[in-house]
Amino acid sequence: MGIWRPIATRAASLFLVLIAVLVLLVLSLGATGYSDRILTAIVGEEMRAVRTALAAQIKDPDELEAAVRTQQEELERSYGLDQPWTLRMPAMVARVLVLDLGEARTVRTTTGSNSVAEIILERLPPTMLLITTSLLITAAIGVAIGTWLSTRVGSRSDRIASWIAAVSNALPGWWSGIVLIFIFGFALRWLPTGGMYSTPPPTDPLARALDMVWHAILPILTLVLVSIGPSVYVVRTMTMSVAQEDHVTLARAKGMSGGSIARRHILRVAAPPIVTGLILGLAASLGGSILVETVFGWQGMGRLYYDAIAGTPDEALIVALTFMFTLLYVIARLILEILYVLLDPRVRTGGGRRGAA
Amino acid sequence: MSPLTPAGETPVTDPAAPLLSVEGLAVEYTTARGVVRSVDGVSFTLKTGGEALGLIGESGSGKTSITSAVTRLLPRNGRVAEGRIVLAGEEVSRLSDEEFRKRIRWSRIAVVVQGAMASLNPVLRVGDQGTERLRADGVARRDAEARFAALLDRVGLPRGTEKRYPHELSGGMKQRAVIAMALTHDPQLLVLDEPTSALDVSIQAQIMNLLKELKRERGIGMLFITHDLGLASDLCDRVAVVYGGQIREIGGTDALLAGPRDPYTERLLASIPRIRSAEAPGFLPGAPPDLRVAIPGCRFAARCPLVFDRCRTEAPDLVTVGEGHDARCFLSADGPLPAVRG
Amino acid sequence: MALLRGVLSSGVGRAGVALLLSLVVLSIGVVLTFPPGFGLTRWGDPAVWADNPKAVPPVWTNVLGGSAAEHRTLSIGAPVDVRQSGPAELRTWELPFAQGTGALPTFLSFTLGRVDYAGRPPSYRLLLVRPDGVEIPLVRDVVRGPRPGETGPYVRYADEPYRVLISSDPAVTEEAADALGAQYGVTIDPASLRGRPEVALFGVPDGAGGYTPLAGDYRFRLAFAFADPADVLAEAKVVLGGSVYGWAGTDTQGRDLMEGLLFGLPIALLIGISAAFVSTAIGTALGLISGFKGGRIDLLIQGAADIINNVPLLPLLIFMVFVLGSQLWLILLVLVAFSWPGLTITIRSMVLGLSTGSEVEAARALGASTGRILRKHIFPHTAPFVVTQMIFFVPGAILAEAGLSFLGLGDPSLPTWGQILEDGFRTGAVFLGYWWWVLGPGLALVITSVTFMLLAIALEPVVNPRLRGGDRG
Repeated sequence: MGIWRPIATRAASLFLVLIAVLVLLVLSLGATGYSDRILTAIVGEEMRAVRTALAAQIKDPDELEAAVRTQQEELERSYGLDQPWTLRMPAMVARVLVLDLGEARTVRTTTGSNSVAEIILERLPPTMLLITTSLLITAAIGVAIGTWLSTRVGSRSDRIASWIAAVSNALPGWWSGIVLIFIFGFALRWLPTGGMYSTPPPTDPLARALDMVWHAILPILTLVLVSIGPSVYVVRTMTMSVAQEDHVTLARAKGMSGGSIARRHILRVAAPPIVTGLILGLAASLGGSILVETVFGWQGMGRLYYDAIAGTPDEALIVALTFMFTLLYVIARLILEILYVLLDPRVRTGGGRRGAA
Repeated sequence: MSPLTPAGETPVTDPAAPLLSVEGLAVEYTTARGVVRSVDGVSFTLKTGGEALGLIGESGSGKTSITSAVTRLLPRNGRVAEGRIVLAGEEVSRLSDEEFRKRIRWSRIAVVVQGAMASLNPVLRVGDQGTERLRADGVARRDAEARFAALLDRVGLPRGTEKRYPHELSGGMKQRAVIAMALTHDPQLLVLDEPTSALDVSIQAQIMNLLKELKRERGIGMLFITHDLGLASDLCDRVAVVYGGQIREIGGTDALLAGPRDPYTERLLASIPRIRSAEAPGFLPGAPPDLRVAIPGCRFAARCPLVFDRCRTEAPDLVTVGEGHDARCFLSADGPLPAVRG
Repeated sequence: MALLRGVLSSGVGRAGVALLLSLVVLSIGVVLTFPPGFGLTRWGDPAVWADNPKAVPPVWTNVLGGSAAEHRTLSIGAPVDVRQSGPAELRTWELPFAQGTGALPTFLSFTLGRVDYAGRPPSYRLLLVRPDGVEIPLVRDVVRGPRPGETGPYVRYADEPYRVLISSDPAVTEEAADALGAQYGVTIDPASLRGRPEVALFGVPDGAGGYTPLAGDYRFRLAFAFADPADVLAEAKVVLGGSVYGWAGTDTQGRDLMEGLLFGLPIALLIGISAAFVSTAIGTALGLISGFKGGRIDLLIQGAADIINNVPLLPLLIFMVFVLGSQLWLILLVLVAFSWPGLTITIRSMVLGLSTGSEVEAARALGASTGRILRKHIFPHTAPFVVTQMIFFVPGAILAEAGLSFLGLGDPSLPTWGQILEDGFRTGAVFLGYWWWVLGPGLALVITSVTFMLLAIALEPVVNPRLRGGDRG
């Protein structure tokens, strides 16, 4: 049935989000003169290569300078530096889209490349690992504890849980990370204090993987810690309100078993709003990962962001990263939207429009 | 009885016994402000062979608590404090929850719950919900589906309804689907809690007609909860008027409507507006009693137009005033009630 | 009022209100007592903190079984002795203090405040007088003389006090070695006391190169020789450095973290409350307009809200602040710009529900104007929800600013908790074991956020949460 229409609608609106963010990026870059700076830097890089190449052919210094100047002007024209930034906008949007932002100032890939696109692609997997693992753990724990709590609303454990949710919501994740490093890394020396691998990293691939897991424990724990409270609370509240609905009473009157009622009639019905809750949690963990990676020296996109800001800011990297985070977010949203459509027949057949998440 | 009852678990039935007999039922709720006894000393019987009893009262009168006690669907904070519930000679109130669930629920007592508009699971197809219990009982999918499809047909739903989701159905269709579900196990007793309250009047009439037909052709006993005397008189052979957790008056529908012997019943009847009547409908001022505080006298005394001193100190008992007709008023035994100003 | 009563009816709500009141009282106190421009003139000025011990834990760690040295500042009062000595007037001040056998001061420093003299610059001496009668000269100097072309009377050290770090003065070690050697008949190598003369200043040599602590009443004696009786020494002090400091300890620059924590409070509240208020106001207004006007305006507002509501907040926040600059008001502006849409969408759906309701129909039938209907018949129904959302938003804004500051994008003229944490993190406080540097600001953040969380949670049942637009029913 009409699975595709609602998905297409969401996809279109998310694509619009992406474009809007792009335009915002480019606009603010242009208006503040950052785009000039980035392009000039790119031209400078290229000119260095051009100069060496030309120097090999042209011996006369004056002639060389003239040739270099022509080349430079040509390059500047091709990048649109001879025009005001407003006219360059479309080209700039296109460049950001493919991460064609030239070269990073100081950051390099492990293979020594300084291309922005390559650097970011290298840093993407660690970030994905961190975010997806913590999101899955949070969701699993949230569902387990949340449904359990929903059967004992108003009990002591329920009240304790809502306090914990409040505190967890008020915890800055990065700070919790620092405290965890302090406790488990510095004071107890149980877990590594940061980084992704031990120094020197193990050579055996399996040992290497295990070493990374070992280093990932604290960052993941941190991300879970700050999102678990809201997650439990959302699941609890949703299942609780579903449990009070008439169809659950009818299922009980039918003589269905407790397990069947919990699964088919409560959790299954509460699933779409819980997924919405996850979508909201995702935004928090994406942002949170920037800070948490920074704290733990986790060599993902988040830490890269920090490195690009600290010291001499690397504009090209910052632009590329902002766009990548938005792109990641939009993709993840789309996946969850599809999940939602699959879970809730009402969206599928246009029975009810869901309020925006 | 039901062909689906597993062998060896033949229900203990006594052909001479009434289908349902409720004796001295009391239901209590534990609330933040103490224990509330919202049903107190309620007794009634339902004959076999398709008798329908209407339970009538304002909201909060305790009528839903009575049927919830019978179906064991009381909310978590409620419990049966006293009394026996006997289904065809078997004291079901003594069964364990698990036994009650397996042997009584749906196979012998089916329910159409209040707020039937929302009583379907929004994310499951109608068919899945209708065959759910049959499948849990081990009936093959094909058989269960065929059986439910036939019932959907019987309640007047078009072919293919089982493949649809609840939000694709209208209110009346949902209600029919819920009724069809209640019939999958051929229950002896059907509890209907305000089954038409959320429907348009014309749909309401259709559903009532369906229920009347089912009652006639299948001989199902019915407990029909409503605050609408008109609907009750349409379907029910007998009527019990509930007020403040007690039965005020119980008797054959015609006799009770024609000659109420309790002031509350009388006021309830007077409050129904009548077409082609010069009389303005009477009002029943005030609210049902607060059951958290003990009431020494008659529970209706505070609102009763015929109240006198004795009513405030002494609680009246049900007295028999006619053939199967009981009423709870000091004046009931004296014949028809004196007239009050409208 | 009904809201307040609702909040106060629950334990969570009472806790929240009590916390909020104390935070507000505290920050009013801070605003009244802290100097204007605290961030640049005090927090950011290393000279202010020169006399504080560096990176030491809070005082109360002593209670937990530590035996740390107390941080003491001894200031001069009236001279104990004034006498004429030749043409000069000799004034002597004494600064008595007790020293136990416990921890020694971590450093000694001497600071001269304002000195006024008419002609010849006064000379001065600072001595340590020990319980065993030994006197060790610590400082011997002359107040800076007139510059070429300058005429009297001369004012010295008024703007910038003159500070001597006694502990690192090689002359002090020699004096101590001499004096103690003479008294106790041992030879002491001054080089063995380099950088840490306190062991000798407050101890008795055991002859084997070690020292046993000498407990008792000590005095610093400051003697000033003024050429003119009208010359004045306004201020001087000796600091005995502690190994603990204040209620929150110090950072590696010696800054009293308690001051930073206190100053951070009004800023956090300002950030949280103003960002929450403005974005709630914008969100509500746009939601009301969008829901009530409908048509093209509605489409425009909802389109914008939908887009902004769907962007990942922190990366864009970082980007915008990076591009625009990190003044506080800009940070607030960006924060507000990205956070109004959620409320707008909800308010709109509430308005849609309300504007077809009987109350609004009745008001319309009576000929009420659009503005009046919005003000009198729609807004009041949404108000409790709006208030709850506003409170919910406060911790979000505070934590967002803290996150930005932690990434180094904070407003440098205003120290916030996030910036203190960033300082600590960059200095490696975690790996050096300076826990107080990290725990204090973090806890301050958590407590402030929790306060508003508790209030919002207490409000939740008061404001029917089912009011939110959804697909149910």
